[in-house]
Amino acid sequence: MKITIHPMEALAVALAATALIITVASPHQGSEDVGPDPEQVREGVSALLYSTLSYPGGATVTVGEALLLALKEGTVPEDLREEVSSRLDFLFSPLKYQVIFFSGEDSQPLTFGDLEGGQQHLFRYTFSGEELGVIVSLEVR
Amino acid sequence: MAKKKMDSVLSRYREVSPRAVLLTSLSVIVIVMAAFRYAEERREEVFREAAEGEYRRFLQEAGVFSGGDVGVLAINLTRAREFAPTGKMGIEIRIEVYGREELHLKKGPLSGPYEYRRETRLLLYDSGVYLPAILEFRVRGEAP
Repeated sequence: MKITIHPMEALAVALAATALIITVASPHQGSEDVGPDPEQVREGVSALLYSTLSYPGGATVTVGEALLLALKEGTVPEDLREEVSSRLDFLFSPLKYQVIFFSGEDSQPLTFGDLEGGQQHLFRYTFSGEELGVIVSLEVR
Repeated sequence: MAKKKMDSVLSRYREVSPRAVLLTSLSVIVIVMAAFRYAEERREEVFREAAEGEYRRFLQEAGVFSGGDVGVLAINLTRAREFAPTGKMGIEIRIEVYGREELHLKKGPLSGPYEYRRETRLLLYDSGVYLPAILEFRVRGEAP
């Protein structure tokens, strides 16, 4: 079988192929939502840990330092737990979360929030030479 | 002689099949559309870069403390209020602390074809105390 093609048709097909390549190759932004942005999660954790608490008498301490002290002592004062919960609610709203703070192997981790599963993020901070680890789990939208 | 030449030219046009004409026209339309799309995306990109530049400038001018590798930046409200946008862009800045609006700033015309939004968790500096805050930064306007 012999297939004949007119030169103009060949040109048209070449143009169509070029048009297709240009259209496919041109950049376009994806709009898929794949859950919380890790950078924003880190910003939230940093904003919590470096925010300060004022104690009666005028002393201020960062939340990170207060949590490290609580981890060392093995108990969390109720007002600290309430304040941290309230700040976490604000920073991660409207998502559900679970945040675990830990330091070393001897201390019992501190847990806030009741989310099970979700997308996990791990961060490490240093306060006064001591390491504070944070595992954040957030629900995937 | 002239009639012969005219007939020759016309016969060449008659040789072009309608299918070829259709394909060529469609291809040209698609190429023009792709070119417009590319130009529009480029304008959007230029706007986004300019808006991000404004965001960074805001942090530089209103920021009081940077935590380096942890990326914490605190905002001083007094300095934040003095911030002014440049170019054909309007800027809206909101800072919220525990549901309470601490700052709502609108500067320049908030109109134009492009918009850039960014939400950042940071610290609000207030009388020696750092509070966790959410900064909403919105830019609207034209590509520079």
